[in-house]
Amino acid sequence: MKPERYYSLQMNIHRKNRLEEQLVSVTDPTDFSRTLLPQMVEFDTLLRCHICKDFIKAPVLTPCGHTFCSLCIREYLNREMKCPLCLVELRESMLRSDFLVSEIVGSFKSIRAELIKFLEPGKCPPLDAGNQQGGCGSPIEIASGDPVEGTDENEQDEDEDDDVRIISMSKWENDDQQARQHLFSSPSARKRQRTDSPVVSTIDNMLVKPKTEAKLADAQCPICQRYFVLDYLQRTHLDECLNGIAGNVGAEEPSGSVATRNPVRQREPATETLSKPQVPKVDSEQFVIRYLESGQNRNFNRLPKLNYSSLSQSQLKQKLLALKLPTSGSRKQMISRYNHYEMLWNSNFLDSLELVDERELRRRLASWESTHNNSGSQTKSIISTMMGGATAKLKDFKNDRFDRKGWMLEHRHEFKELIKEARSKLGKKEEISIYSNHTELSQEKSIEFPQSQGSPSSAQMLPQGSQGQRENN
Amino acid sequence: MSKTAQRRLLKELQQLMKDSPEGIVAGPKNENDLFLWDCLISGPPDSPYEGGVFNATLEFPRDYPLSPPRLVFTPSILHPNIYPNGEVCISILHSPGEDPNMYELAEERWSPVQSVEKILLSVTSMLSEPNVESGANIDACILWRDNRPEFIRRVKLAVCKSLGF
Repeated sequence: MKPERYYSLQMNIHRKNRLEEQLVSVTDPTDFSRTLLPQMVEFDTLLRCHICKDFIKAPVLTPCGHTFCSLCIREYLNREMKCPLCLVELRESMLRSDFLVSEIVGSFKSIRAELIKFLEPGKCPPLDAGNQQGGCGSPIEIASGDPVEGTDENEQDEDEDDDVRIISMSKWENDDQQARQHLFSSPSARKRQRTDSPVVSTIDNMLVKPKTEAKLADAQCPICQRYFVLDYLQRTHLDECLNGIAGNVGAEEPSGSVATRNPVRQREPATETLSKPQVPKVDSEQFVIRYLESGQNRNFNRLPKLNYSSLSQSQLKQKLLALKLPTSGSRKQMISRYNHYEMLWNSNFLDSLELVDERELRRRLASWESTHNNSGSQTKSIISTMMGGATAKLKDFKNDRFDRKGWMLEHRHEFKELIKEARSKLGKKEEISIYSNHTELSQEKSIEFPQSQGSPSSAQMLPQGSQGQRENN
Repeated sequence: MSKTAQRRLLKELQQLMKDSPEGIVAGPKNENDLFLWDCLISGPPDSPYEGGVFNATLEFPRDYPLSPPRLVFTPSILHPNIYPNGEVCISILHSPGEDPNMYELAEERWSPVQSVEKILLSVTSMLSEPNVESGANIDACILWRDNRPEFIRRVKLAVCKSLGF
């Protein structure tokens, strides 16, 4: 019993960590509620699907004006032909992909972590209520929303500088028109200008300074209106200015020392490349380009819905075979297999901008089937036999929560034996059915599995015994 | 789908942990199973249930959020809309397809855009305003309608008992 307790204890620790880890990794709109810009909670919420509560993946728009993940809504419509939000009647064919939302979400996701870090209250104290500019004066506002633009002067002598001029909010409002033009100018044009970047890239621009230290950007402080080296402005001056202690610090602060303090510098290089000329891939513009190019390269057709009542068994099998899908299982299983594959296919090829190939789709289908479509004989695989025997703990074998490490640790002897056996078999008879061997072994295993059954007799069966000795030492 | 369900439950859990509505606490019963939650619901003020803290379990289906969870009070409490076995009968917990009672409005029923938080809020409002028209516990319904003081007395008794008096 002792080793078992040890294992289960260890398992619990694993699991516990996992849940905590999982919770930490889950993003939530309220992540913004404690930042300097709590209004972002709303923005973050709007970019999420109401079904899975995650950021919208391959968004589709309904005629009633609501947006969901393609897969989420298709799955829902399979059982209920209504919009989950307003309950207006809705059919799958009415859904339209929404590439703009897709790229807005993508670009927001890509900067979200940075943004939160940037908006931490510690870094830059909130503005007092009396401030005329409200939230707008804070550096955050500039970073998150403004089309920060290069001035005319910048555009003219672009060879000369890497300047990014940060203009205050009030000025931006006046220049709204101009700013818009910048946003809508073609990406290539923007690349040429380099200093004018779409909304997203400005943040990167601010966070990640160009390596070319020689020409550091001058930017205007939105509070005191003085000009500073951008790096210095955003790292140090704004805080001090907001604290009212900026009086004695000037623009002459050596940029080098500022640079060494720059923590963002250690980030992955992809985003650092922004203002280096002729960089093939600029992270933040990727979304714009992908959006502009969406709709091209769409050679895939919608996979049609089938009218199963008019399909014979063999016709249905042919349909599945044509898609290289397995034809095993009952008719009902085949139908739900086709249905799910159709959803995967359509949401991938019609609505997603990150296409995966058919092989990947089939893999996803198989993974779905293993948990959802396995009442029949064909899925009597190793896993399901294991699951059948080993009760509650194995119920979530396919899930993230399943403690793979613990499982492997616990059954390493069996696994070793399996490998050994497989190797020896490989030499002798090639034609032997591996499948049947595995099932045999796994059935044994389910008997040997003591924790879940708790019966002492089963605990004393062979491999477990040797394991126990080892643990007692 | 169970992966979707898990992710979604994690999100809801996190949200509830950050700020849960007043008088409601909810979370998974144990660390290993996200699909079974324990909830504590405090009786809403100005209702017979005021002052009580009621324990309930939420059982999520594998295809959550496509299907609604099941909410069961353990132990059961006397209420027109709670079955004697503790199961809560309110429209938000019924999926739109099934309507055994034929009276529930579609927009009040479960859809994936609902959430644990909304369910628990509905339950609190159910505690303060029982719906006698769609009773689950007929005896409680009759008592509520015909002999309110006795109903309140019994509930108060149960409340005291639940608090260990």
